[in-house]
Amino acid sequence: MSITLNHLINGIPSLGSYARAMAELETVLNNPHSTLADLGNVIEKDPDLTARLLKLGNSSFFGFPNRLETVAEAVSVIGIQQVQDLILASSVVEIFEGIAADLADMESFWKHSLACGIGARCLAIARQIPKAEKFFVAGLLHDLGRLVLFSRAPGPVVEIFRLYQSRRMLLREAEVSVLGFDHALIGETLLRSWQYPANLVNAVGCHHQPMSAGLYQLESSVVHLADYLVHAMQMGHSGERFAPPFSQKAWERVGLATSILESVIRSIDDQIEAVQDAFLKLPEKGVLEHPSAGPDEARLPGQPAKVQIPAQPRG
Amino acid sequence: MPNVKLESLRPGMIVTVDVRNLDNMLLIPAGCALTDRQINILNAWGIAEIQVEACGDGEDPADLMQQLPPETVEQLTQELRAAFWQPPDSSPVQQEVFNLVLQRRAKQALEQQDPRP
Repeated sequence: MSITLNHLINGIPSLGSYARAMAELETVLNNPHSTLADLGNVIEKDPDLTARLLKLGNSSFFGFPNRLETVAEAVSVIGIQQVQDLILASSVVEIFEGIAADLADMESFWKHSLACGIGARCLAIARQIPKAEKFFVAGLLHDLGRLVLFSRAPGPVVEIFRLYQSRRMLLREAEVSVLGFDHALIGETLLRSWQYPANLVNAVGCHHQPMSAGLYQLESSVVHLADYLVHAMQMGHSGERFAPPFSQKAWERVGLATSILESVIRSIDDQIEAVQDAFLKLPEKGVLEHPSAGPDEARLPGQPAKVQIPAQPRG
Repeated sequence: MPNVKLESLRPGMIVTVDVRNLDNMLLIPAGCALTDRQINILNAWGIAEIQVEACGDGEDPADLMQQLPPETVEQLTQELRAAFWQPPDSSPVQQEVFNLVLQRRAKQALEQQDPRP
């Protein structure tokens, strides 16, 4: 059986239940007479989004000294573009929370992804790249292709892990040998089909080979380094048991002093709990879940009961 | 040394870098031991974090390793080394990352051994 990229990504909804909020936000932003309060009203219509935004706005992720009470306040200090980025991030978490929850240790997977987002954002801030929230989204989504695999190709996933456990190899290599392509390409193709910005698409697609990202080497390098750091910290679990090969060129491209590493690691430790709380710990409402279906019926057709990601060796 | 967030600042911590507001007005000079009043001033100016001297509560990496039995340190080192695809000493940056995450694990091991309130 051979699986094509298109078969894998076909029909995955792009924005889940936040699609309406995003579209309304766009309309308000395009209207020159809009005020910050109008923006706040759009977001406040979605109580789930409001809760997430205020939780994150008041967390150590931003570290604002004063408490944010309203959405308009949050938007004014966080920034409109950043708020859109955060909605985007929440929407992807939501889409896959629904479909892959019982296939693998999703909590651990998201912890790895969120930590990578935090790390990428910290590196971007340290490098003084504007709009660092973009990097949070890129880091969060870097392994999106794996989620597609877990939810859409459970059979090949079992084969991939069998091969992976049989010898010392990278999970990415096992993916290529079973499918002919890896999770990075799947994620890139999905995000491109959703018409996400090119910098995000390339940062995800090239996070293992940042120097092949053309115009987006900096973005890809930041995500590459964050991924390496989070693997080294063994925070969460992406499925890969090794801290992946390190690109010295990516490090040089980002051009930071090694002294920054300590503070990035500390920031990840400091912020992970709050960020997990804001993105994950709200009532689940996966878009593919049928309201009347029990947890068992919520799976996609043909999905097996469980695929275990091998646990990372730990002391 | 480390950047410390406002909520974690305590009176007596030594400020290592001049703290200025956005207008570049000096609020607290380097070398000062923080007072409650100064922490309030930082709060009033909306300053989120400042640099202070590392406090001597086992934060020093060398100290940290010495508090653990050598065989535990050796075990942590071996386990961590096995979790890297490339040998951690392949480049100075990788070595630095390895040292930092090893210290982090040592700290976690210590906390498990001796949970502090």
